[in-house]
Amino acid sequence: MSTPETTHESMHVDPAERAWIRTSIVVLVVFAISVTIAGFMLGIQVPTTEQRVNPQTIQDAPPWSEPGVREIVAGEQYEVYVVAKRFFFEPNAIELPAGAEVTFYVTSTDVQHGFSIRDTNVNFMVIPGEVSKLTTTFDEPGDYPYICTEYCGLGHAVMFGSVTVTP
Amino acid sequence: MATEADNDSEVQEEFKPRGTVAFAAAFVVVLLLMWFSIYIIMLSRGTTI
Amino acid sequence: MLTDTTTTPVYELTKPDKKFIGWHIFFAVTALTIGSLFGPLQALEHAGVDLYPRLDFLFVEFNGVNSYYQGLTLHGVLNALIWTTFFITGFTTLVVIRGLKRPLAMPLLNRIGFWSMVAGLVVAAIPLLGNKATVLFTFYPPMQADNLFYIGLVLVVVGSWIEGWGFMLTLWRWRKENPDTKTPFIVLAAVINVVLWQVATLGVAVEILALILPLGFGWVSGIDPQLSRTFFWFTGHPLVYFWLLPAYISWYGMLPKQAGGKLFSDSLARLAFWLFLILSTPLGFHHQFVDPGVPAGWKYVHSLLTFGVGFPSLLTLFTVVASLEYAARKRGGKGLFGWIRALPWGDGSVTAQLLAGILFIFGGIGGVANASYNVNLVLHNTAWVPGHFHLTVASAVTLSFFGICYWLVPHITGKPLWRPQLALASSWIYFAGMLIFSNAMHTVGLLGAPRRVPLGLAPYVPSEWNGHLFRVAVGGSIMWVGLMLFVVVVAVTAFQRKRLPEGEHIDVPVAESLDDPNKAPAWLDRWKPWLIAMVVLIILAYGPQLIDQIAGIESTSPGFAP
Repeated sequence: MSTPETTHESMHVDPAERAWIRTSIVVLVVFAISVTIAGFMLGIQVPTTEQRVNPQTIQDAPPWSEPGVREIVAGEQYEVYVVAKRFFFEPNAIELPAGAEVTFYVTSTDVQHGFSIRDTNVNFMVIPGEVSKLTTTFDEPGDYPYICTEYCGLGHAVMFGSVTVTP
Repeated sequence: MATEADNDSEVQEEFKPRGTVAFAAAFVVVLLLMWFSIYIIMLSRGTTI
Repeated sequence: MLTDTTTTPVYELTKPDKKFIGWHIFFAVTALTIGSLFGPLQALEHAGVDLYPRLDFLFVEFNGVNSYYQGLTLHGVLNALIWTTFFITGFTTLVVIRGLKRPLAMPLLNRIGFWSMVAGLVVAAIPLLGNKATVLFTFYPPMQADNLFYIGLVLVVVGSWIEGWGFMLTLWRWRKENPDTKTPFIVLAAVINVVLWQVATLGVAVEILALILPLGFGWVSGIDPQLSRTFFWFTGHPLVYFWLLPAYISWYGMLPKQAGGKLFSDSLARLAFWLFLILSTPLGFHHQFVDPGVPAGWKYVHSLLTFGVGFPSLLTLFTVVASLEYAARKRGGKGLFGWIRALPWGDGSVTAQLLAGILFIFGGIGGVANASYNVNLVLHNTAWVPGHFHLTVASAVTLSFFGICYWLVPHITGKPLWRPQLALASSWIYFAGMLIFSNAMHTVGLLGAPRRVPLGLAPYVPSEWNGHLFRVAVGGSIMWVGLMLFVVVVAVTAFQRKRLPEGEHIDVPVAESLDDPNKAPAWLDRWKPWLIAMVVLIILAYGPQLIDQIAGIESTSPGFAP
């Protein structure tokens, strides 16, 4: 780009539009700062790389040979392993206590699926060859359906499960 | 209407986009309201780490 | 109603060129007509009215329309990929010839490109109609369609490349012939879009040629689905700018003239397009925020870059609205907002584009939300997303293209627009349907409804979604009525016997600018720095991850039929 002087001399920008340009930048920066705060200070993060696996052999050995809930610290910390297959989740019913920190590990043995737990920020792609991971806490007891959110074939619409959160 | 610019000899019709400024200002308000309403939904749905 | 009826055209396209453009529009509108048949079916399905089982009479030669997903695939491929690409290459042909006032440098090249696209469309249509490519328009591996589907897509893309080379060559020639003249804005913008497309489609080309087809032909036993997604979304985001920029060309470079005004700032319009060129591609990870195989840090970087590409769109908002305000004031418009009423709302072409712009305000806001890193956790793969892109590709783009067709078809056929009042009505009906549809989709998406699901069948739909799903059905059906009116108006216009009175022409509306384009800084007419910036940004934003993901490739996923 040429020097700012020649730019300003030759490029006529209406003062109102100049103000708009500044406003636009401020608004976009406000959004960027907001997502940064939520992501890096308030603990709302997107999934990151976890582990590569072989979708064809993954269920030959633990933990994926027995998907389900693992209690790490009773009432406080749990891990949940879920396998997405056409057209169901293994397991399709999960029970967890309210207030505990729960980490979901999900993978697929066939095509791409999605995994989204209603009323939570747990919502990610499930891709064969990859393990998706997010951690959340269910504060309120109740039923939280989890559904497949990526088209996986003719039975896609009936692919779901449910987390029951007990007090 | 601003008439002070009329004494400017050359400019017979200086166009000032007042309506556009108003439109853009309204847009920014709507943008901020809608964006932050979704941001708040995100905050209400709990942490992921 | 068209104000551009003149007796002396500024530059007249040759008959063969007009016919050539006409073929583009013909295939585009035909694809749109067929693809849109399924829109209301999907919308009605959401409200519990499933008409798909009654469709077995359609395309029986091929095996019939068998499922919601086959309809959805046809809807996505024909509307989002075919209607757009064919219309845009046709429109670009018109813009380049009329803007440069010179014929194409190598018309044969463009014709080869175009007929490759047609061949690709036919080849892809066979498995699509035969329910052998029911993989939706994102065709994520390892789900596999019939190889013909991918071969057809490749032909369409390569054909569009070849047409693109024709446009680039024409501009290059013109610049040699006119070394001291600034490239007219509409041509610069159109060719920027062509270059953007050439670069952007490299991703999907690699995905299909290096990953999908080797699996399809059985040369390898597996594929890496994550790497495929990364290549797909390298193309996927700039793809939406490829759709959008022709609408912007009309909004900046034509609509002001149609409204009786001028482009508010030629320089800023050019700047916006250059920024789109360099910023559209290096941010594809914002479609992969919730992918397990992309590091969060890179997602964050691409999110920030996406805020960057928001800037030229915000710039566009101001410049286009100011251009319209200028026109409205000249027409006697008064007041802070009252001037809006003074715009030529009686003109179907102008109205379609104004309504497109209004819908795009909300499409743009939704897009910023999608791109906002963790906010995407609320939105990803929910009904919000199709709600969003119906405001962008199906409104800002499609409704603008309707408006363009209302002068373009008379221009190339020499026939008057049939029933201008119906043309006007079509846009309003489509607009009304879209407001209802998109609002309902966004709302039910925020409640957690997934996209790409026949929700009438899904066992997990809570009763609180029902009202919204009903509105989806109502809005979707109304949109279809508006769209069909457009098709009828355009088809009758093109095929009627009536011609424009002798000596009368519908000219291409090309807006002058308030600032003198020849006084614009030289760097706004220079390709090299921007091309370098584009390549550097792509390398910086994509290079490390592409190297990582390619080096770590694990082709362990066998293919699956849908």
